Amino acid sequence: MNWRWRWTQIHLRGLLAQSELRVLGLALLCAVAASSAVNLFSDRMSRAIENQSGETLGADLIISSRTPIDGALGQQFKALGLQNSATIQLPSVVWHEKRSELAGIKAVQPGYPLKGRLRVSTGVLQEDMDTAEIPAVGEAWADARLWSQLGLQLGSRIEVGAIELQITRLLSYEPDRGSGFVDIAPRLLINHADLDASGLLLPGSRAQYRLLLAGSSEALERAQAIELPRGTKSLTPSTARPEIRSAIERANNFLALAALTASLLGAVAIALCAQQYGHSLRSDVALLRCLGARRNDILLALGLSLASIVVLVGGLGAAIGFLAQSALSGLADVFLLQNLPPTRPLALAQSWLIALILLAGFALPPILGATHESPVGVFQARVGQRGRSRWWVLAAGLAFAGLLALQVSDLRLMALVSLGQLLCAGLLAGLCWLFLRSAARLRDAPLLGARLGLSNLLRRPALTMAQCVSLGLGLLALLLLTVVRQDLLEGWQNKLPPETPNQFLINIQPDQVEPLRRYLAERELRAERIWPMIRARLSSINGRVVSVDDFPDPETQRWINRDFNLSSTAELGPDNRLLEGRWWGADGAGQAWLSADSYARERLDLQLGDRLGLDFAGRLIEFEVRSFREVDWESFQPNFFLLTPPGILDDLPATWLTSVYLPPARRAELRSLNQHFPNITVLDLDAMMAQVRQIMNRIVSALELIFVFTLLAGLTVLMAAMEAGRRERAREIALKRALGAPLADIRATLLSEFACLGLLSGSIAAVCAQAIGWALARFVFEFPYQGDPLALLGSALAAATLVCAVAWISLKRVLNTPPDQVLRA
Amino acid sequence: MSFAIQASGISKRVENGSDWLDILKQLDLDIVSGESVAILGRSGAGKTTLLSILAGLDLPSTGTIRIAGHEITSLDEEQRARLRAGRIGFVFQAFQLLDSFTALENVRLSAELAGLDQPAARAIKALEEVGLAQRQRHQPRQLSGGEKQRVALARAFAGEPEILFADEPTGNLDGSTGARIIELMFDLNRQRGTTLVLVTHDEELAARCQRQLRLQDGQLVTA
Repeated sequence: MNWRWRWTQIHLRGLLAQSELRVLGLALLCAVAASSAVNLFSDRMSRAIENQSGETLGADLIISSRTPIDGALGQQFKALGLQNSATIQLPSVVWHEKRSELAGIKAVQPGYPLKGRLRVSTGVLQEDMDTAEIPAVGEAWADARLWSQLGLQLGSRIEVGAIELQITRLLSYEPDRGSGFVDIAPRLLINHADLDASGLLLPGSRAQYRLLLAGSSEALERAQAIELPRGTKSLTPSTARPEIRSAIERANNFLALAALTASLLGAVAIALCAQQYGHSLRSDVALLRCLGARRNDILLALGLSLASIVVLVGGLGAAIGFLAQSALSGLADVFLLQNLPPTRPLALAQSWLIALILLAGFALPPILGATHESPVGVFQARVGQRGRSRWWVLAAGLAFAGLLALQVSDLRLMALVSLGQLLCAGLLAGLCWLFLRSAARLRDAPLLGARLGLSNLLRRPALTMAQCVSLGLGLLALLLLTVVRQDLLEGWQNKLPPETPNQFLINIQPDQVEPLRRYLAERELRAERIWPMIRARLSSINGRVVSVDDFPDPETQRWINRDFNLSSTAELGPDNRLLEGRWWGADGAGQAWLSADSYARERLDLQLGDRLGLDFAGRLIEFEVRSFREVDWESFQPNFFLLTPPGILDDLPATWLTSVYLPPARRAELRSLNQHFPNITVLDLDAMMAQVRQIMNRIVSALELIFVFTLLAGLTVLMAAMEAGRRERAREIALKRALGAPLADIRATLLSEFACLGLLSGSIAAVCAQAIGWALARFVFEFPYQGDPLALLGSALAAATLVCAVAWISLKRVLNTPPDQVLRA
Repeated sequence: MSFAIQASGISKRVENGSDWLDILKQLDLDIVSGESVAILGRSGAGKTTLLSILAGLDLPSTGTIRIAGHEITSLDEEQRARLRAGRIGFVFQAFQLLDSFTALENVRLSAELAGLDQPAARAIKALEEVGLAQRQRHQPRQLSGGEKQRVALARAFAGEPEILFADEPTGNLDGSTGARIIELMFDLNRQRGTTLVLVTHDEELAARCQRQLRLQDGQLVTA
């Protein structure tokens, strides 16, 4: 074994025995373990959340078509091991005795729904319950509205097409109903086997064929890769409903923030330790060069050492991260989510890649920089430090970009966090410099006691600034993870206040608007607004007739290929934010103007001033786009992609809709609304909202577990910052002890020095953390954020205490070491 | 007669704040192979600078140097390192051992860099010669000052150098230990026929060399 290998071995042994390497190894271990745990767990969580949200579709994946779905396609899905169940929906008149009603018939197979449960009861005002069954052959379940309009009772016989069915349940909830308010007809659920005999499936019956699929994420991924025939589309939980998609995106943002913070903390800690280690390597390099070792040989040996450290520590960190996320998912199984999908090897490889990036970007440059040491260095008591080259900055920049690219999907979040860190680093450096300048007269303090602590900071300005910046960044991350995180999470959870509307009333006829308003007022049920809803279809853009073929995107094709709802208003609700253009207010009355939500703007590539031709059941009106809005779909208030001023649509046939909050204990009352207003459809959002809230709670719980690891990574930054200058400080302490300085004086000096440093960096970090928290709340998570001056002060004091504690732990050994051991070393 | 070192017109000028400081001024020096030369001078006279330049660790501002017939002033640091390995040995005042290596590994390093066969066996033999056969597995921090310098001597000779540069080899040692180290160094030097360039301020030690030169005002004069 030649000297290169022996040197490599020594470096590896140094991970346990040598101070700088030990802290570097610990920092890498913590960073990789935290990143691995976060990445692996968040990957599994994201997929679990997506699977969980399948309950809102009744399936993980839906294949939908206006024509019968090819049996061969079904076989393909079955071969992938996916559960499947077919449904057919179509409108048809249902007869009971002498009454009739146009209903939305849904024929289902055993197993439906694949995700979530139907809820049924034995009649109006009866308690409903979950069921795993479907109507038996010859039976049917009607929803409350159909029940009321047809005067049904348990056992009533109804006619559907050519067959007669018996009513056996009142259908109170179906998980896949209510998306986009398109399916507003009363529901009749029947067995798939009865459909053929009914004779309803005739050409022009406007049937919607759906194949519901559920199964493992791997099988679903493969299923989504299958090419679908023209006119067939697929729906997943993340693409089906804007409110669910929004919740998942928000969750991903939080998870990405946790992962990014862990990596950045690791990067800071590793860079600090590597800088120290690189410095300590210089005397060895100078000697080796003096003895005739070539730089390439030294580079090779150090490269081998670092590669071995990557393999050993990176691997160990990834393994700890893996175990940690397994433990986390164990907890998740018990308390949070059942059946987390298994770890993906690719996600594990990504964790490994992060380890490589961290070492290559933040440890390699300062360590390799040591190889530039001149052999003349052997004659110098202290080997000179070289300035960091531009390559160091380039490597760190590239590594930073790599970490961001791997872990962040939201550019705005990435920009805000990075900008915040950079600003904080600049602010820390600037304020520290100002402090050092203004406190210069304290340089002549007595050479023992508390005041010396302060003058020590002035004596080593470069080290003080480096420590202040790194401590500040570490403290910033810790504060973001503790105080600000709590504020953000509370803000997020509170975004859905307890009295968020939970019932949508749709299909209200114009002459029912006032009676309904009175009905609700008498029962102290508050309907914010009752909106007119007019159906239209897009016919032209800027005078050019458009068709489905003009838009390559399937989602846009789907959107414009059917009637959609729009509404009129003079006032913009608080859940709508004007992005561009001017809101018309009262001046717009009767004008053919439009305000488009960002979704419509993006789909149709709209600009202000564009003219949209809309077809209202044969009547064409051309509107000018006057503004763009961003809609908060999580407000659970009625909202529309397109809005017009009042007056322009008044003579068009419209139905109205509204939303109200009904306490769960009073749900039975709203059921009776059907008897007063039989044609009004009540959509129960309670189940859907409970699910959204449950998803939020689950994510918050998981994040709290993940943040424990990120917090540990933050503490390693503090330890690494303490490593900077430790040798010099140890020698200084030993000398003073040798000269007879009392230990109490030395302790007072150290504590005052670190308290001062902690207070300085902690105060700046606390201000920056509050500012970043406000920016995240305002621009990314979109809710108001309340800063707290007391929290600021508390954060600064806590930071000072924490820095003192970490410094004490770091230097305790030095204080207890006999001075001669330090001086002889 | 072959020359181990031929230095001609050597000067070294360094920046000293806003001024320039001439440490060496148009200095010439020829050292014959196998000769032992002591360079004397007061502290700050430039002895270590001269030794660095003669050993190819640093370059002069002007002048040329030939080591074992190789012109080194036109070589880059990498080429000079290759030349040093196996041709030049060092003994430093501060010992300069790799703290993380054992005594044996420190000595073996030199033989390996020189490209010699059986470096481990050579290192063991060298340690035996300096009386540290029992200390092979010890690390520098476990050795006394005298023992460290003996390891340094073993390292210097394990590479079978043509020239040995010694910079105040007894500067960190007490009188009797220093004397034993000097005896050992001159014995080994005699046995191997190595050229010795010794930098010291100790007149007595310098007297043991065949030739004594004094560095004075950047020039070498016979002592």
